[in-house]
Amino acid sequence: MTRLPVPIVRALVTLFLAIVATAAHAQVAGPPAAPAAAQGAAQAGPPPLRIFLDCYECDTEYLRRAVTFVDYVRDRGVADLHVLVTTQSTGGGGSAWTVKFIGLQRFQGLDRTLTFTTGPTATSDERRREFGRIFKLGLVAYAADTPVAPKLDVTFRSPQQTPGGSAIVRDPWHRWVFRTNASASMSGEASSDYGSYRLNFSGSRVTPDWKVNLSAGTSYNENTFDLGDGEVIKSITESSNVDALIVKSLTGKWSWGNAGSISNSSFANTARAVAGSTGIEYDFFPYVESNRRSLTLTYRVGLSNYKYRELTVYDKLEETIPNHSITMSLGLRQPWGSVGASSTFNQHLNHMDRYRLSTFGNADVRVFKGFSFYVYAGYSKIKDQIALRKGAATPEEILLRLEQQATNYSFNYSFGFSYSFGSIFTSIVNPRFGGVFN
Amino acid sequence: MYLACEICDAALRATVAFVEFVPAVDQADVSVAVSAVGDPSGAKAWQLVFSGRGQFAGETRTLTVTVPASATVDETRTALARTLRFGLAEYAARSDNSPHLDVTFKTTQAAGEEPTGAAADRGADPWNYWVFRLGASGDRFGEHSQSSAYYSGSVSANRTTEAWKIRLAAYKSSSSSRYLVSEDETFRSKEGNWSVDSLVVKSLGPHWSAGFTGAVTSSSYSNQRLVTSLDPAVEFDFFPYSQSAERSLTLQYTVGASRYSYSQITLYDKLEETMPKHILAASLGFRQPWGTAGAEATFWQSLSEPSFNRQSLYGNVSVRIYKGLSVNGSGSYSRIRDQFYLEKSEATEEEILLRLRQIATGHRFSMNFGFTYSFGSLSNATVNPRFGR
Repeated sequence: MTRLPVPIVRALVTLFLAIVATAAHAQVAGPPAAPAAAQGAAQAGPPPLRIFLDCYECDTEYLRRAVTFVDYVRDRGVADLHVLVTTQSTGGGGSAWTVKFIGLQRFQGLDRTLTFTTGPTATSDERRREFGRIFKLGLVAYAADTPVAPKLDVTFRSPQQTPGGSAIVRDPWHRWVFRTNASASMSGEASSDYGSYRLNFSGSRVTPDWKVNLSAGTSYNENTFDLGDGEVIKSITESSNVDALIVKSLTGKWSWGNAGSISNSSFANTARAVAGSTGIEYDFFPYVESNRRSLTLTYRVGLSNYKYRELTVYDKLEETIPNHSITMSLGLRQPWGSVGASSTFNQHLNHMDRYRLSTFGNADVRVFKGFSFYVYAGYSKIKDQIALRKGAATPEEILLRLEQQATNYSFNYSFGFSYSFGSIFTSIVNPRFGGVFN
Repeated sequence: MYLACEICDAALRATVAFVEFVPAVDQADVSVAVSAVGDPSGAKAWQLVFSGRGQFAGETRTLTVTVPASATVDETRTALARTLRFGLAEYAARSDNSPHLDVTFKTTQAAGEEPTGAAADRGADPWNYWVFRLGASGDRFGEHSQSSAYYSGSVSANRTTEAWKIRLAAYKSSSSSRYLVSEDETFRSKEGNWSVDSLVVKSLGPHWSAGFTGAVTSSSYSNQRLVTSLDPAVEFDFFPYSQSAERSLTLQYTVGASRYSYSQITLYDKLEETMPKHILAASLGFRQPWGTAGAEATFWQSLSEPSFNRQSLYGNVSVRIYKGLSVNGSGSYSRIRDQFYLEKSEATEEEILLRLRQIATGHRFSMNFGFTYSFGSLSNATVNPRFGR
């Protein structure tokens, strides 16, 4: 760290003292509104229900404003109730939410699970409102003996009063869902410009017995740099793909899957790659538990045909490769955190020495009160780079990562920890000066 | 639902309209046994035992309700019915009636005031609302011809109450990369920045706030070895702040000063300077059932050299136009006349291509636009996790 000059140190100390003084004053001014309200509710009964909300998808600021009959805390260790929320995508393209209420302390052993779904085009406001409603319905029995109970009630609007009630309609689409998406992104300043354009189309049909996913997409990226003296560097990467996946459910733990794809990519030096494979997958846990835990083993065998843009390092412009792969994959989402790990071995059947072994693992764990860490690590041993272009890349191609470079390994890891202590309460929302600090 | 209760009359049953009462326990999804329990204080108390059956097998819960000895029959019935509804809600949330159920909470909050819910009932907080956090993270990527690394660490102390907001934070990060440009030439880059920030805001009623930010920062990307700033400001929200999750429209005015000290001599031949400035920012945000929208306009100007200024506009929108069609877009544009801190020397080709250094420019823009159209069997709720995707 740079050494700070004396006047700045002095300014810093002054600033710090000012902050401490203000903070001390704030402590005296203290938690507002609380004393007056607390007197009214000082009668017997347990304190407010303390919730530890464990949810990546939730709008917590909205909930703290909209569901105020409980108190929100920062840590599971001091909560009465742990609310663990997971989502999975549905056949219609929306989300299936699982809200698990896990009783702690005086509610030990009193667990409940509620589920609901939101549609593919639900806005963020609709999603947070629907979550809030189910969240309240699940909480109300736990909050029945807290001081707020007399102000709480469960209301019911009979179906006739609700617009667009739950009339059962026949499905003329036979569970097919289609989606098209287009996006463009551009940015620039005096000496550089960037543009990225994407187009995707997909059709899918998901039932408990069959899953059919079809998709097609294309993307184009362009970077322009003005180096001065009239020298301009323009780089382009583009790719397209058509994919199909058809999966048949065989039993509660076995599935049979077939995949096919046609693609091309400037980064990978392919003008056209056609691949087809068939495989079998086994989940050691029933698939219905996949939002909480899964451990799958998948074996595939297939054939790929490549047409290259430029001559490869093996002097090929076209070739056909039979291959097979085996994958083991673990996923856990539990009250203490989540863990995932996966390992894939992919091998060419005509050149058994051409293979790739990729392994990754990640964990996000609450170790003890206030302390959590995450780690992600991935490593690939690479012996199958048959598509590399022959000849040396220019410095610009290397710096701008325009094409795949030769390597026999690739790794990627990240880690982090977070430790919080102090006040456990997080119920207060104060949005003032939100734009300045963020 | 089967109800075993001697004092539960038809009037009470009518207030629990979202369940169907059945005459025998073996036809029920939930059975409720209500019994009177003695209370030493003379109050009347009942215990309600909810027992799930069939799909709810094993889900039992006991709730107690107490009414004063002086309560009328009607008051007793109301309290008992409410507790019955509390206990049945979690079962009914899994029935066909679920979409028509909700929970209401009557707060004593007046219009425009901060809501007072359960939080008002809790006991003393020994930390007096202070929360401290330490964090660190690292990220590395590598293969034969290239690698990169990024590390960061932070410490913060926050105190949030309705009356005050205090944020103190220190942050440091560094990043490096390596490229094997040819057989015998490797290019390496290194960047780093750190900051010590503070924000103190006092609430002045439902619409006004006043506060200041104080910061010491350093950034190699912007040639800023050390910048010390103190910026007092006032903010006005045209909507009450308590509605900020749905809508806000704020106007903020800042007058402050910064002391700059540079790593390399600047375009204006300075190695250090002090710059007073003012900033006016207007910001609008909506999160409504139809979608979300936000916009911001900022005007920054030096008070000692008014020709150093910057105007920025930003907007974003994400809207569902009609069933199945959603569009989203965002855009920003800045007119830039405030790059007085840029390094005088020319940037190298690598510095330009890898964006290691801020380059002189009179404007900067970005735009994103996208739409999604879905049709077909959109309400299909099947989850099928087989073979991924």
